[in-house]
Amino acid sequence: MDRAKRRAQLEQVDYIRRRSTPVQNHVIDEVQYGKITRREFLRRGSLLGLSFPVMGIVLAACAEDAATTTTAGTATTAAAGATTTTGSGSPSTTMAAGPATVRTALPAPAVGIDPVLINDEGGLATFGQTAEYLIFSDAELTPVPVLAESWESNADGDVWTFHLNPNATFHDGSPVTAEDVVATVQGIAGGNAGPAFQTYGVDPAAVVAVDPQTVEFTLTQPSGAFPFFMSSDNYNAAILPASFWAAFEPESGAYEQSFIGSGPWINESFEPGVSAVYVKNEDYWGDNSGQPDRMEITFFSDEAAAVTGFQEGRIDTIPHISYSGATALLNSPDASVTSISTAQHRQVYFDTSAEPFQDKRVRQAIALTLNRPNLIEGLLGGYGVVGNDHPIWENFPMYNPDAVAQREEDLATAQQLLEAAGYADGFEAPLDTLVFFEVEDLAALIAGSAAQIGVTLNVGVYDSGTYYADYWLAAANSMGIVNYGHRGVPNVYLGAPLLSPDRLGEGSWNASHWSNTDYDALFDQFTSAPDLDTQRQIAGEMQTLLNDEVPFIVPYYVDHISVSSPMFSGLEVTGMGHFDVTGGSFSG
Amino acid sequence: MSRYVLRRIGLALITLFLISVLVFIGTQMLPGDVGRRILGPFANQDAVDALNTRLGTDRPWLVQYWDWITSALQGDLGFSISFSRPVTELLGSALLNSLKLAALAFVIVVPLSLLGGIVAALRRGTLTDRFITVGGLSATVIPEFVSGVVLIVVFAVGLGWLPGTATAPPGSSFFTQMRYLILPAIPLVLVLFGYIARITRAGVVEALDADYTRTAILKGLPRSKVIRRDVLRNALLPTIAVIASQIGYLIGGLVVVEVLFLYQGVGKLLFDAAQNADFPLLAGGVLVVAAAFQVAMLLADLAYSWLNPRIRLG
Repeated sequence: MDRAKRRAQLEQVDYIRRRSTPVQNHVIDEVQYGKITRREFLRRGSLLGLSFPVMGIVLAACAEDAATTTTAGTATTAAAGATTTTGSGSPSTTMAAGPATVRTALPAPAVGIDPVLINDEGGLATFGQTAEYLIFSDAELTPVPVLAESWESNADGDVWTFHLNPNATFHDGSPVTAEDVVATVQGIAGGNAGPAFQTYGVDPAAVVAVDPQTVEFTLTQPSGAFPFFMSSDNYNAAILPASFWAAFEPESGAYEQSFIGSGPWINESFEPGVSAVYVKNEDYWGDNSGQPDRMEITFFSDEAAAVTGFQEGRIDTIPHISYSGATALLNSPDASVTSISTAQHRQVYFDTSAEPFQDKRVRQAIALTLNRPNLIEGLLGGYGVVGNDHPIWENFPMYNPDAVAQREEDLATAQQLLEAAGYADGFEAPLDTLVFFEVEDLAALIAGSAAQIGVTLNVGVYDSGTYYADYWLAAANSMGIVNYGHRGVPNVYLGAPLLSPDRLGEGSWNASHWSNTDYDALFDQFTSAPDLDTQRQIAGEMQTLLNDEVPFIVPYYVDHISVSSPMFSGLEVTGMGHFDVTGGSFSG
Repeated sequence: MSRYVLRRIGLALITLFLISVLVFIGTQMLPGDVGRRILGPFANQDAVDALNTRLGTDRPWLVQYWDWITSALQGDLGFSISFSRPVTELLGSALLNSLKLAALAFVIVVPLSLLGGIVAALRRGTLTDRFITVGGLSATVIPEFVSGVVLIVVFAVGLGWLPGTATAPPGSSFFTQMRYLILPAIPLVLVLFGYIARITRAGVVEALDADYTRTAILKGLPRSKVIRRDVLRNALLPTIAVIASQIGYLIGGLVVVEVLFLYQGVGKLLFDAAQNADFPLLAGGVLVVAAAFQVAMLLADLAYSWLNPRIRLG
């Protein structure tokens, strides 16, 4: 089969994968790795909703894989290459050999590159260049196999087994084994990933290396979404050697001495706060033939510095820039601006335990004063998606589009609700928020909207340290705004911020002090539901309940904007903040 | 002389000690504890407590301070939280960078402003004089971030003559590094030119009006020789004092220019440390800048007395 036809075939499979659910993708994986027969695939695939023409295309691609496989590693990578995304150095669709150097710009990490403590975008994006995850959660939330070839759970969903790719190796040549995975999970337990352990019910002692290629997790509660715990979503969970973990102590700077990992880039130099330089890993276990030879990251503290660097031609691509930072480049012919929708959103919460926000009619009234499309246009330049007062983003596979209608501006109803609640003359309350991109402007606009029905909101803006320490969980008769970053599944959003405070005690992020046993029951059902249809149905009930009770307003979800030179293509980003230029190339 | 120097050093040490106490108290008063700041608002309290114990930040202030100051005296300023490196190492390289930038700015601004001041004084009252003094003053009041951004937009982005960042690629030659430092040095030159030129001008004017100058000219000595030998020497005295007082600013105060031009100098390091609540780096950095000030002042006084033997030190 000639190259052009092969490329078209791969693109078709890629198209199919994008439009398939994770469970469907899982079945496609299984047939591509030869774990199930063609007949089995046809049977299971049709059960899951794949049509026969679609399955035919996938099977034809598999047959082509088998015909062109020459080395042991290629089967995996050919399959992974069927998805255009990242992690295993996918073959790029441009045919030229990689260019010399790709120069990118990232926000300076707030703490050193420390696998346990990384907690911001600059840190995780840097970390993800040399280290890899079992699974990569891409822009479309598809779990892409990387260090793990496949995974499955038991019928109850509380025991998960991951099968590692036997060809995966670290930069020093040693193989990636189950021991390394166990050591990694235990190593990150006490750090930034701690809340994820709680959300997914992971006990570090209950992670076992069954054999060198198999890791088994026994969870404290069933979890349908567990694979995301070992994905790039849980960005501290990149797999590092057990030998590294044995000698490691957090905050020691040890990782920056070696930058060990299994990834397609090897770190050549690292100057904290200034730059990081990488070279292509020639012994990479996957196929990275099209990868550029070098990559340079320049760290910036201020987006303006990144923008001028880009305009001067010193930077080829800025993987993530805010709308306000990108204004100079948005309409420039010398910049190619792309965006992806993400689950990142702002939560405008009410203190539901006291007056005046105790009555849900008051909360609904305020929610009804907002003109959400206007907010997106004005604050985000249109780079956003309307929210409906619950954190289940429309691109989550279990989002239920039929559950509840989109709340829109309706001042008349708002006024009625306010009067029915006994506040015909309006009231006054604080609205506290932190300095974070457009959030203070959002607060001002909400105050302006609420004023239309006689409610006076006094906006207070604080730096993030003070805000989180003194205001976030201590709201009293007031409102507040926080930000929640992107995740691949909504479990984190639905858990700590919304469960009744006494369930999680100190681990509660319930800024609204909202306590609703119906919701708690739905949450338990949701997290243990094994299949998508049940999840979707429960999600629908949650969406309806949250939209009605409004413990917080979700005005919009924020898009992730990237800027590249028009001559550069092949940047892959995720809503989490990861970026990948292994498939990058220059034209012209 | 040596007694004077020793006494000055002693006083400097006392000042530094007081500064260390003040800075330490200041960092302790920031909201939130260190562990919480590092792990962020969403981490478990247990993890935060464990980290605090590991870093030793849950001990009483006095204990922490004693630990810190005794190690500092041995040259160990602690471990930076945000850069995971020893503070001394970070400050060392940052100081070197700041010194390079300061040196370039110095090399440009001192001769330029001396010349400007002298010319303005010699042509006192003329248009040239007005131009230099008013122009210099106007340049001084332009904020560094304004002049810096304009320079970047015009010379780096627009004309492409000079790079818009101050950090040269690693391994660059001396001249390449200097080329990268030209644009960031200009805002500094603009700020300092007016001040130094005016002081020089005032000194020269005063010296020109002095008796000894008139005597020398009346005696028949050529004017240029008079200016060079007598006028300048006396005029430069206040100038030296002014220049020395700016050295401290040039070392630790260049935050705006360094952040704008992405240059890892002491100013930017302190800025990053403050943003990230990196207490060890912040405290260590402030101490180093304070020490630099002390050294600069001492050198200035010594230079002053060398130029004017009549001045008795101490």
